[in-house]
Amino acid sequence: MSDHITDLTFLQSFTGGSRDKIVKYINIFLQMCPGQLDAMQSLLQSGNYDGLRATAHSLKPQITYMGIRQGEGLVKTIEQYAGEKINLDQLPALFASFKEICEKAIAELQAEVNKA
Amino acid sequence: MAEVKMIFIVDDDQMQAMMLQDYLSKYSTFDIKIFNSGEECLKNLSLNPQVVFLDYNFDKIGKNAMNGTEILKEIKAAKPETEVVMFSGQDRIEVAVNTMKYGAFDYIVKSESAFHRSENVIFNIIKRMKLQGEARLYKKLTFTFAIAFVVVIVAIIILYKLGMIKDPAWV
Repeated sequence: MSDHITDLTFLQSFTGGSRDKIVKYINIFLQMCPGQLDAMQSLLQSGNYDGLRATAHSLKPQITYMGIRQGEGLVKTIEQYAGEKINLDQLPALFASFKEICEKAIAELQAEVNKA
Repeated sequence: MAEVKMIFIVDDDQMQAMMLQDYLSKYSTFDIKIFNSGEECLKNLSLNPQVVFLDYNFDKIGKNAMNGTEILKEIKAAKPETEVVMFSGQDRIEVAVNTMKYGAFDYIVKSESAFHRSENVIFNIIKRMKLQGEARLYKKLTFTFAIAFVVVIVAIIILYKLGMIKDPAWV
């Protein structure tokens, strides 16, 4: 079984296997994701749950397109809890797990881009 | 694909907008423009888009950014013939129902299958445009025929009154 966090099957099918396009989309993700994670962290720390919901919401499709399966459920739960302001005590742990998965995914995707 | 020429993609998510643009670009007849806010889209409505793919949340732009429903209402008020397709990560049914109430043609939830669906929606819009065009043509033909019929009847009556025709069989 693969220990990869990301699965590029969708991107390969979407781009018809075009390496240039795959790299283009990965690069957009690599540019945007770290900033969005930082934003989520500060929104969580400041108790701005509406902002946290909005940022989680905008990151959700990108997580799906990069095939980060372990992150999909987490980001959806963060969006839901922050939006409905429920289970707020669980949000720090959920975010920590999500951030860890995203950081692993970023490293994997960076390695993919760096391939010749 | 002659009827759909100009397509707007309105989304504050750069990746999402580019992916949809790339997907639809296989049809070289489409002129596709990307706007990252509803306000930018509204400023450019004079380009007469036939289809607008519209995101629902524009939170990245700022708290005061118009949301999808507000933009949809303004597009339909300014260009009722423009078809608006909501393209959103928001999968709450009440949001979808609400946008359909304000005239959205369809509601697509952002996912891996959303791109294929967006293509099908364009085909459905083209189909509807053709049907509407045919309906307009039939209406025009019916009206022309009715006018012609009335003119002929009036002409016959006048000619009869003037004595230029006598006792037509149908009188």
